[in-house]
Parts: sequence; structure tokens; C-alpha cells
Amino acid sequence: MKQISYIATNQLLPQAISTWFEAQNYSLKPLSIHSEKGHPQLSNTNILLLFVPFFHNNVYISIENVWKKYVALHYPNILLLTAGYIKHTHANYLDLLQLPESLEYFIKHAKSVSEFDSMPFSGGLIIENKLQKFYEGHGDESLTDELGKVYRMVTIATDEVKIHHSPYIEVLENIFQANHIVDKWSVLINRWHNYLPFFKGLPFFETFKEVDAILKQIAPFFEQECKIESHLIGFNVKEKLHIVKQKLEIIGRQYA
Amino acid sequence: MPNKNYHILIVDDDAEFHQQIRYAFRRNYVFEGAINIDNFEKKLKERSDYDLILLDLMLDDTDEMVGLELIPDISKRYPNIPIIVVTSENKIDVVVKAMKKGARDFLSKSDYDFDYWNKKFQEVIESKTLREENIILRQEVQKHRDQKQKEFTFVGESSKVQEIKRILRLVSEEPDITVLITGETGVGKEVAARFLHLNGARKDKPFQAVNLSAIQKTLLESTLFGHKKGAFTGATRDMEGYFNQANNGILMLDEIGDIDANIQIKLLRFLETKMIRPVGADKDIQLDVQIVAATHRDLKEEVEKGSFRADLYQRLKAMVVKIPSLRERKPDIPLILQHYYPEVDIKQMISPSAMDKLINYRWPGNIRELKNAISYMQLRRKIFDKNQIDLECLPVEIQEFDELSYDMGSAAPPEPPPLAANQIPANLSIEEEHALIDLRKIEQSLIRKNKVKKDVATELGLENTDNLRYKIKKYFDKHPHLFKDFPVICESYKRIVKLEE
Repeated sequence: MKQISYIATNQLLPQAISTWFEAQNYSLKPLSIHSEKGHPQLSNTNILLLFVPFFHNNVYISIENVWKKYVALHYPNILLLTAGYIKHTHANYLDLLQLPESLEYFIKHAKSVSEFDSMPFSGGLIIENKLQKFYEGHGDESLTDELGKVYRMVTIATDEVKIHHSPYIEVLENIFQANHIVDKWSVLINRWHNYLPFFKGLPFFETFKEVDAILKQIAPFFEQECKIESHLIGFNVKEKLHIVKQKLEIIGRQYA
Repeated sequence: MPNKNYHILIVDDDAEFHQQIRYAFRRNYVFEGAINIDNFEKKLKERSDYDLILLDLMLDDTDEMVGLELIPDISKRYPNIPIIVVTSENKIDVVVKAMKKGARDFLSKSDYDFDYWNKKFQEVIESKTLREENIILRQEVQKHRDQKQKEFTFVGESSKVQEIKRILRLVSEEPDITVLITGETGVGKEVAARFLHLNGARKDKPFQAVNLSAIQKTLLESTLFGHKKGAFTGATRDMEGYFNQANNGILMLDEIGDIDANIQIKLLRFLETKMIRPVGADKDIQLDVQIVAATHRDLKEEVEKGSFRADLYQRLKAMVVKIPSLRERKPDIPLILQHYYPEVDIKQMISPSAMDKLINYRWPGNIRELKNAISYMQLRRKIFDKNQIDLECLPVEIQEFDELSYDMGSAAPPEPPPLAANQIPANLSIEEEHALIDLRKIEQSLIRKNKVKKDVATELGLENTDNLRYKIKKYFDKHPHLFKDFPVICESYKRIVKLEE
């Protein structure tokens, strides 16, 4: 029996349909989005089926085209299929309300990710729009804009302390307090927490989890209103923010 | 280079950004700020010599990239102030647009890094400084060119000069033709060559003039064609020759009748193939140089004598322009005098009788002699404390010249004794013959260079005036009898040359 790996946020669905797959001589194998190495374990997968839309944070989310980009970039030989209840005619879409007579025939005529532009829309919140807002240079929804501001202030302050040996009180007043860094940090963290649940179904969510962990490590410095000099250097706030920026930038360049 | 004298204008609607950059770079630069477009314009009106503008693209609380539209206008109005775009919008198409509109560089606000930003500021300010220096240098070069042009202006309105100018203009329309300019010494052959350059297709390209008889024979090939490092003792580095330096322009080879057979054949090869090979090189170089040759010799005669290649002569005589002697264009003499005395009215400066003498003198040294005479007359006028140059101020040979004893037409004057004569007395030894030729060159050079020994040494390819003095002393010690024919040498080196009365 041939195997199809699948990802679904509602496990009842694949269970309900597994009999049909078995009748077509295919078994369904659940796949965790989140692995320890930051990528889903797709190296032994030939066919990946996504039950769309995903359901996170009480919202249906259309993640299929981000997955398409991801598969095209990292696993171009995997055959990517989606399955849902919306009526579409697409070589890679399984209409769960009107399953094909032969799965074998369907798979044989499905296309590799490089052969078509986009997956059929699954009807949820389009995650690319969220990513775009997240990475915008300006605006009330941009996370990277806010992160850039905090990073710039922390960098200037760290250089002053480490390189120019400026008194910390002077740096605190001229950079952190004068520019309201604590408020900016709060805005940053609020936005981060608002975005994070929406990104759960994305293939690179592990990276967001790593970023989340780093932000938690340096949070005490800001919670103490940046008044503790040893936190700035001891927590490596500048370096950690730099890592956060780098990790997010890699994703932004590819998907935003 | 961090320098507190450099003024940077930050244009950004984010006041906190101003404060942060001012603080971070406070040791390095002086900052001023503008938070909106009106403020920006006001700042530029107040001072237009900022060394750098840091411009955000989002201004005046809009979501439009209004900064992008400001770049071309500012670049046009203040071309000397470079702009670096500093913004949160770091999308590649925005960067490309900003650069195309005239921004010199781009920095992303979210990628702040002191060293990197400082380096960018420095690079842009340095390139601005270099550009300004470049403009100054260009102006200097132009000034120098203008001076040269003035120095080499082809002055004259006589029918002969007008005809020569007409011919030269026609020739200048042929940027590849080889031109041979002939005429007596001092008639202005280089002036004619420069006239050709200024009026031709190569006017914006180099003009190089080289007096072939002034360069030591052993150095002539490398001076003309260049050499590779190690080609000969003393060749410590690659060196370009005159041909290379004149590439795309004009190379004037003065006194071409004086070059030896080796150089003649190399020159012929260039005229036929447009290729040269530097001394010590194993490859030819293709060049695009128009050759303007000049000589006071009769090359046809030299060919008959066997001292000049017939095939080279054939090549050179493709277009021959003969420059008339000064005595053939006497109406031009007052104009030439006025040219060298632009600040005064020449009719007031020179008395009518002196002017008559100047016009009717035979001028064997042509314009060069006239120029020297001008300096002499000026000096004499000052010595005699006169307001005007009169007969007393003229050089003795002009004062004493009797025009009636000479043909006033175009016939050449009788050659002055031994100096101008090329003949070598038959009874001389080889050593004496060499000494005589050398002394003639020195005598002529002393006349040409107004007795400035340093210039004479340079013209003759000698390292310094000591070498010139040594040479003269050596000849005098060995052949004192030769010196009676060289009054200028005798006068200039009185301590060495003591002729018996």
C-alpha cells in the first residue's frame, strides 16, 4: 500500500476519510508540522496532503500557498495536494464532497509545484496578507518596523557603553528614556503575541517559536525599564535582537 | 576621516530618529534636521553647502513616498550635496527607484550599524569632495588650455596667413591624414599644428608636441614609443611614450628631419599600421593618433642625400603646409606685437620709427626672434626710463639693419655666417666636426631660450646646467679656435671662454 503524509488541524477529518484512501490502496500517515529541527519531517515523504483551511486561534486560515512556496523551495520533488470542501477544479485539489473515482489516476495527473502558480483558495484568512503586514516597513501593524526601532536604540546604547564607555545614566536618559523604548517594546511584544497564533500552521513556525524564546530571554531588561546596565550587556540584548532580526528576515525575504 | 566640520542634514518626520542619529554620531559630524518638506526647503535656503543629506522617503505623515519625488529636484538644484536615502522601506524596487532618481546610497533604518553607516557617510562625502576637486582640476586644466591656446594663437590677418588658416581648416576636417608642416625656424609650426588641433575633430583629445632634436638619440625610441620595466638599465617601471599619451589625439613631431634611420623605420611602420611596440615589449599596441610632422629642413633634399627614407617622405608629404616666414607677412608684425602686449596700445608703446624698423627687419629667427626682441625692448625701455620704445631700445641688429640692401620680397635672406650654415669646413677633424655641430646647437638654443641656461640644458637633453658648462669647457679646452663663430656662447660663458683679441 502506498503512503500519503498529511497535515490537518482537525484530526477527525482524515480519520473519517481514511477508509476511502485505503480502498484506493493508499494509507494516510499524520505528519507533525513542528519538529525539533525547525522543519517538518518531509525528507521521506513523496506525497503531502494538506486538509485546508487550517483552524487556529478560532480562525480558518488559508496556508496552502505558503506551503506551496515552502515545498517548492525545500522539497521540489514532493507532490503537494490539498483537500477541502470548496468546489474547485485543480489538478492538485481533492474535493472532499466529490472524491475522484480513482485516486491513482488523480495522483498520476497531479502536477509538481513548479508546474502551476498557486493552490486553489481554501476560503480562510489569507496568511500571506498577515505576513505582509508583519513585515511592512511602516504602519500600525508592522512588527519589523517596531523591532528595527528597538534594535537601533539598543545598538546605539550598547556601542556607547561598550566602545565609548559613556556613563550608563547618560545613555539611559539620551537613548532609552528620550525615545520611550519601554513603550516601543510593549508595542512590539503586543504585536508579536497577536501575530504568533496565526502563524501556527506555517511550515516555518518553529523559527517563530525560537524567536519567541529569545524575546522572552531579554524581556526582563525592558520590564525593568532598561535601568539595569548589567542586563543590557549580560543578557546580550543587542546580539539577541540581531538574531531575532536575522531569523525573521530570512522568512520575510522568502514569503512576505 | 570623521570630521566635525562635515555638516549633515537629516530629513525625517520621526523626531526620535533625529535624536538617535545625532547622539550616535555626535563625535563625528555636525547635524541639522528637518522634519517636513517646508522645513527642508527652509534649511536648504539657509545654507546650500551641506556635505550630505539623509533623506527619509516617508515624510509629512503620509503613506506616500514623497521623499522619492524630492530627490531629482534636490539633485538638480544642489548637485554638490549627495543624498543617502534612509528609510524603513527596504524593498529592492524602492532602492532602485531612489538610486535612479539620483540618491547616492541607501540605508535601512532597521539595519542600524554604526560602522557600516559611518563608512557609507564617509564614502559619499569623500566622493563628493573628490568630485569637487575634480571640477576644480578640470577648471585648472581648462585654464591651462586657454593659456596655451593664447600662447599659441595663430595671429595674423595678412593674405598669406588667411590662406594658411583656410588650408589648415580644410585639413582639420580630415582627422586621419598625416600632415607635414614646413617653414623656417621660428615661423610658428607648432602654432599651426595647435590651430589644426583646435579646429578639428580631435579638439577635445590630447595634443602632444615633441621636439625630436631636443631628445638624446639613445632615449628617443623609448620617449616616443614607451618602454617596459627592465627593457634597459634604468627602466625601473613601465613607461608610456608620447604616442600613447597622444592616443585619440594629435602628436606633433617637430624637427622630423633630424631623426635617425631606426626611428624613421618605426615611424613609417606606425603610419602604415597604426601600431607601435614599446621598447622591451613583446606585443604591439594599436593606437589612433594623427601625426603632424614639422621640419625646417628640405626633406626632399635629405632624401636625395640619403639621410631620410624616401618611403617615409612619401607618407609624410600627403598633406604639406608651408608656413610663411615673418618677412613674408610683414603686415602681421604690429598684430603680433599687440598680441604679446595685450594690456597696452602698441601704437602708443612703440614709436613710429621703431615700428618701421621692426616691420622692415628681415627676422631670420622669425616670430621666435620677434618674441625675444619684445622682451629685450621692454627691458631697454625700463633701463632708459622711457615711456615709449624708440630706436634706442631696439636690439642692435635691428637698429643697424639696412632694409634697402635686402630684397623686400619673399626671398630668404642670406644665411648668417657660420651659425646658420650647415656646411662643415672640409679641413676639420672628426672630433672638431662633432664639437662644431654641438656648439651650433648650443648657440641656437641659447638664442632661442633667451640665454636661460637651465632651459637650454633641458632642450638639449642635459640633466643640469653643470653638464652644459662642462661640455662647453671641454670643447673650449680642446678646440678654442671654434668659438670665434659662437658669440652668444662666448658671452654667456665669459669665465670659461676667453678668446684672444
